[in-house]
Amino acid sequence: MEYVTDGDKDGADGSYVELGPGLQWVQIDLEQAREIFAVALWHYHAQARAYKDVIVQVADDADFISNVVTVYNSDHDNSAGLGIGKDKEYIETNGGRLIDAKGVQAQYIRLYSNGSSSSDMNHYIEVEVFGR
Amino acid sequence: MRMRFTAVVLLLLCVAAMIRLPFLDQRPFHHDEANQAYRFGLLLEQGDYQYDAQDHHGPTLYYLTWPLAMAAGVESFAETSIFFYRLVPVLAGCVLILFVGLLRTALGKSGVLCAMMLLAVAPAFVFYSRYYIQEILLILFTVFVLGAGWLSCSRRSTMWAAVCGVGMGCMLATKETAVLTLAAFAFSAGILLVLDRFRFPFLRLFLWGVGGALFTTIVWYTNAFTNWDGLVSLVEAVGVYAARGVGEGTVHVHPWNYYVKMLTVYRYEGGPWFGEGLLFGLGVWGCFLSFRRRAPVGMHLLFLRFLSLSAFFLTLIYSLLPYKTPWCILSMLLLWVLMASVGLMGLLETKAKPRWMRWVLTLCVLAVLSWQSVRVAFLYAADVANPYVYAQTSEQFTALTDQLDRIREASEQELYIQVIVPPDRVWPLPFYLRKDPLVGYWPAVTDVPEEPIPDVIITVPEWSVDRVGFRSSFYELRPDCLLVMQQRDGSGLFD
Repeated sequence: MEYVTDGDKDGADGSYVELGPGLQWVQIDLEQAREIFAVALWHYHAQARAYKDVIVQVADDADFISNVVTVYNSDHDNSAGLGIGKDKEYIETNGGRLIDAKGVQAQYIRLYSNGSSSSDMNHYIEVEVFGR
Repeated sequence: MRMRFTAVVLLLLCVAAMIRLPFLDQRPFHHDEANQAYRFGLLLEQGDYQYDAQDHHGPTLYYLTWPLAMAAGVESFAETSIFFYRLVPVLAGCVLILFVGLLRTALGKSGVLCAMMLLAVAPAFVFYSRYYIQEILLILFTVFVLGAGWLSCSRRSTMWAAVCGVGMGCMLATKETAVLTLAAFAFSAGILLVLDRFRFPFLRLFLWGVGGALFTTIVWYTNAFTNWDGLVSLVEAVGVYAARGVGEGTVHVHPWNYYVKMLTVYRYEGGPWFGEGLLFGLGVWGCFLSFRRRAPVGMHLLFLRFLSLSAFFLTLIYSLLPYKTPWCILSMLLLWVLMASVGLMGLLETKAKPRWMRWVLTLCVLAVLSWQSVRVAFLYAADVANPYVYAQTSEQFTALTDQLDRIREASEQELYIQVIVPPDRVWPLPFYLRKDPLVGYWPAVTDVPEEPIPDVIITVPEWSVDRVGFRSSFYELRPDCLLVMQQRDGSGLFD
């Protein structure tokens, strides 16, 4: 899982972690509540593909019970069960996806995905969080 | 004895059918398969066939699908299915094994059974016997031509020469690359005639064969003398396919060793190993035996040399031509498989004297080939690592068709679907949308009408625009090639 925050955004083998099929998530602990301005996200991008049900949530606790805020949701049919999202699906590129978190306060960040247009598996290359 | 031979042939046919039939609709339709299916649909619904010099090959596939449609009671394109279409190559893949029986006096009874066994489980043959394109039909007619040609020569029979000609006509009416196979046959036969100092009275048989071939070709391409434009198009096609063969105006250009790798060992970017090395190795051994006058008992040396030369020349021709597609390997592989039966029989006779050892060796070959067939036809049926998978529709493409099914179920009326995609990315959509009566296809964005508002738009990412009241999702058509499906909020599913 250390691939997710190792600073390596390359799309080659050895730069990403593969999670199983269906809805999966990775979570980042900022160690204390922070003001979060943006989350930058890189899924597998060596090939044209779009990941399904990309949902980014922040919360005060590791179990995502308290003060849960959704900052991005492209699940149009609520197949992930976290509510219908209005954000757009997008094609992965080496530039990643910059998500505006609007300065929300939280300690934990959870990123969901539900397979991609290419396979049922989930891949994370890198996640960066910008805040203070 | 004859009963036992027949029983073994039937057993081999059962094995061939058993390995070809399961999960026939598992792999999504390839764009070429969908294209052929669409053209059959035109023939079925309009009774019309017109040969296209630029594409799609000859008429036999469509006309030979027709009897199956009648037997199944299928009357329209919408009623057809992937299983229905792929049943045609499955049947052809089994019948061609039966046609090997025509070579009984050339290969001997044991040799014929051995060749039938190898063809029943040869990986490439299993894979392309589940693929609705012309290739396996071409091989069916090639085996028929070999059998009839052999009977014509061995019996000095003009009747069999004419029958052989009919087979050659069917080959030419199946796919234009038949010319290459026939050229390799002619060149090999020519060499053997020269070595024989023209003592064989070939001219009469040759003329009957050519006459039969011309007559049959004309019958197919003119829709039985009703449409002479087909013949004009065929003449035009000579230039088209000659240019394509040397690599002009085609993306299917590959290095010279493309087929050699498939015939030996094949590995794609560190993936699993594939290849027809066992069959090719046995085939080369068979060629060696035939030229060293050590052919197995009951086999005709001259025929084996003809096969050896043909296999060599056809592999050479295909390797030298820049244009290459994986299914073309079947034409040369057929000859290598027939020679592999010679090689295997030679091994069994000389290296495996005890009866039990022959059985063990035969079963080992059978097991290895069967396992490879299972890998290419089932486990890696749509995987790019598989050498026979080429521009294959992605397995994830079914996510798009499944979503369309859900929309259709939720909608109270017929869906109006706009397909706005360039021609190279439209297939296999027309097959998957065959049951929708309100589908329009536009090859350019500029021509699309704004009214009425569609329920679903299928387009490509670079032509996709944000539309108020629509939700967009991406779907993989082929690796590295995406489609966008935009669904109107009021179209049923999101009401």
